[in-house]
Amino acid sequence: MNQITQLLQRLQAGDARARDALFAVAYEELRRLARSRLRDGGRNTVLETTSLVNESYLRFVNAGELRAEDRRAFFAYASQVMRSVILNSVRERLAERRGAGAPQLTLHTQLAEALPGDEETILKVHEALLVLEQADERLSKIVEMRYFGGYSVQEIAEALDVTERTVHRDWEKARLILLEALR
Amino acid sequence: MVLSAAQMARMSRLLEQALALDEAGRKHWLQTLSDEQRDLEPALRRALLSQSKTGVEALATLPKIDANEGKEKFKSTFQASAMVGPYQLIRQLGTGGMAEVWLAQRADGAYKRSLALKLPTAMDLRADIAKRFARERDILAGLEHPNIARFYDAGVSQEGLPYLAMEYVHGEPITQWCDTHLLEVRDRIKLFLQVLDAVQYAHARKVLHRDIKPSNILVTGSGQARLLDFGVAKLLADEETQTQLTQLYGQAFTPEYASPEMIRGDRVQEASDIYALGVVLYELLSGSRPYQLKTNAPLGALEHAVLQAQIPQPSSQITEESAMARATTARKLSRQLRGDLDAIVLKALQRDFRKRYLSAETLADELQRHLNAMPVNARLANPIYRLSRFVLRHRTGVATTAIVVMLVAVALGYVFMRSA
Repeated sequence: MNQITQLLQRLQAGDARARDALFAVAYEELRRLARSRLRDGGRNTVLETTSLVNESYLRFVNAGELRAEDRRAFFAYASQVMRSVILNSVRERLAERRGAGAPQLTLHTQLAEALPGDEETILKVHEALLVLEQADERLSKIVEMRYFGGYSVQEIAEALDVTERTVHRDWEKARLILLEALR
Repeated sequence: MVLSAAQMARMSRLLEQALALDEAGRKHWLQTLSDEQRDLEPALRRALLSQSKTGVEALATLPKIDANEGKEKFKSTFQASAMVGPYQLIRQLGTGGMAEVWLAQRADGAYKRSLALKLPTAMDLRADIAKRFARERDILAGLEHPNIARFYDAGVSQEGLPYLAMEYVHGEPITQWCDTHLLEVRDRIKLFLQVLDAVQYAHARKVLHRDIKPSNILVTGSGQARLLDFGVAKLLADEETQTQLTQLYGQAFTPEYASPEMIRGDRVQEASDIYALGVVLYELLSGSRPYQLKTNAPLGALEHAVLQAQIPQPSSQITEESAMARATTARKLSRQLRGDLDAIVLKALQRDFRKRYLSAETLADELQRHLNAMPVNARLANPIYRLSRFVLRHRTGVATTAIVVMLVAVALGYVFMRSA
């Protein structure tokens, strides 16, 4: 029997340790997935990787008919993994571009801010999110799920066990705070 | 403006109040901010202003990163002329999720022949990998069959890189080859019999393939089918950390040839290879796969289909295009597949492995019976079917017999009438 199925069963039977083990296994799966997809070249975009990881995650979750609380934890964890995979990819791209002798616009901070590349935007959102996390964990979690995870409002509401209305309102607040921080 | 965590928290609380107000209310609210909140006034003003503007929602999604940019970064971890164990790499043949395949040759000149060197890149390197390779290597290297690509060697280089050396087969995936050569159904079945012979041979030696799919069945220029990667899936599967799912995802992404028991993570056995063969046969005959999914359906949908969905008869899945590739028309192709071939394919694809063909050999016998117009076991329960096969096989014989029977009956009737 495969490891994930086994862990899902132990989890259903109420074995809390199985959850951590499951996450650990899934983490490798997710990273490997993202890497191999990126390696295939061609149509690789950060966005596609996100949806790829997302799909695979849903697959794990659906596979075992998890209890609601485990499902929630799983969703939250998945967006965390996606965020880190995306960030690593973005950092590597940036390093590569600089290594390739591209002019270092970042030397001139103001200019860099005036013309942020997509990679820079992602990095900045991430950094602002680190601050927001200290201020309001739920807000930052919602942004992580929405921005990095690509979840719908409904999925986020389910994962965080709040109403969709709350997600809408929090998302609006978080977005406005982040936009201000990114100025 | 740079916001501290404390400022963000305050801004959040303040926005909560302000967002509940209408435009006029917000203006008034901004003016009545307390002195402690004054530092946030410009930020709040901008936020409320941008919020009231309609349009594309900022930060709704990740920006799309230019597709070409990262391309080179994910090129091979290896380079031409590099050494891996006793082999020298020549050029890359392909990459999969789990491994790169390189054309290579023995560097010590032991033999000149070039071979395919499979380099598992996504594999967790474990201490016992060399031992495991050694254990399996001899079994796989013992497989000698004209329709199986030879397995030469498996080992670990000094740098700790695992490698698998296999015969390099120059060919096309079987489905593609059949289509480009406009092979008729009968010829497709004959070619497929070669595949079954190879699988039967390996199964008799207790080796499962575990990853049968068209890209692992190449047809060479001379029209011979060669199975690649026999037993390799198991070799690469690490019992402890490598899960079945990894194999499915990592190798194919679309576990479209995986049996239900494989998807469930149950024990893989001969019948699992039979199932995969059934999927390939389905595709060879009809031009479609058993599960009809949209290309962008989530991965879970396929899994669900394999475990739940009713598989349509191959004869019902024919397009004019697939008929053309089989040198016939859709109507004729559908008639060719209806009956025997539908029944044979669906028996190989039974969800319960005990109901499938017991071996590649019995499946081959069955296809052979179909080619010879003998009754196939998959439909034997039906007596009318048995009779119809008999008639088909002995057209002249049956016709002669029928005439004789009729004449005798007439003669007997005449005799009885006279004597009455």
